[in-house]
Amino acid sequence: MALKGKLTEMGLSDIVQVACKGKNRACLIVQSQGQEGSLFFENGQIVHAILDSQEGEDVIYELLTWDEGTFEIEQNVSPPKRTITTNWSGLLLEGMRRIDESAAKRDGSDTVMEFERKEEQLVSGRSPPPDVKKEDYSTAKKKEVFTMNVKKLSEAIDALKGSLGEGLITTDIWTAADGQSLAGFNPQPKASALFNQLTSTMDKALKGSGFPELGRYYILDLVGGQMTICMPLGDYQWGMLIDSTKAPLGLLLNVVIPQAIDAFEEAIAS
Amino acid sequence: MGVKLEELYDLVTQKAGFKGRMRLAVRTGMSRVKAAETEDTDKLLRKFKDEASEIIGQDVDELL
Repeated sequence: MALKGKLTEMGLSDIVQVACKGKNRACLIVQSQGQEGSLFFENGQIVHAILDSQEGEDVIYELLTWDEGTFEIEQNVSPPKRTITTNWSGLLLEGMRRIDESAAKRDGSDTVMEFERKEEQLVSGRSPPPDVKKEDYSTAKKKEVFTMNVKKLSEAIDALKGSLGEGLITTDIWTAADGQSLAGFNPQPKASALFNQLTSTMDKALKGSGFPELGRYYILDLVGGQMTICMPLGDYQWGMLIDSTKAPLGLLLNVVIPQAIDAFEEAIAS
Repeated sequence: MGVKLEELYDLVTQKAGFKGRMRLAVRTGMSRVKAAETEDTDKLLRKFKDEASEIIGQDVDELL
């Protein structure tokens, strides 16, 4: 039986993850604005992609930019050929990186970043109701445009570095929507993308369990005297890897993090 | 100076975490530090209460 849906309800990166984790042989057909692309899966990997006359990895990067259209997964379809050998998670990360890069080029600003967010999506994550045309729905949405003062954001990172010294191993502030890094120290883009997923999974688990939602932060105690702290900040997340032998938890939670949050808030409110 | 505005920030943080606090900062254009240094005028308080109520999904006057 074929699995069908809309890209507005389930994005391509989510579909790819589901298809790869299923480890089945399958073909994903994506249609949007008169174009049709196909991805072929086998043994938990994407092995072939085709869009018009184009084949291979570039097709995936192109399809990842599609945010409207339909998809359909047919099971037990053999790939006609093999044009891709890169691991699926690597393909998604590279695709996201390219999207971020092109978005940054469009913005063209290195001191102030401007974002437009759709209030309805932020509040509930819902897609347009089925009885409302997408165009009508789009125009009816309350849009909110705000700026991010990148200089102040860097000051927030500097303040954290100053407070923790050698206790800070790495830190990064990224957008929750796509894992795009905004500022950091010794940043780890892969970790940012994966922790973004982790926070989303925790949100779902808490919601599904009927527990309260995530509060100010979550902490993971790691071997080797290290810990990670991740702070969901709405449209953003701030994560850090700490050497707990050099930065005591009490100092972190009662002094350093409140100061860092104040500085971050200045960046988004200014 | 800004005692009530600061209380609203604390309330939103308690009820909606940093996520809520950041939304309040974006919507009011004023950080918690600035709010603490600003006079609690009726106009500002009204704006903060309206935004805070929307963020936490409950009338803040019932919680203060």
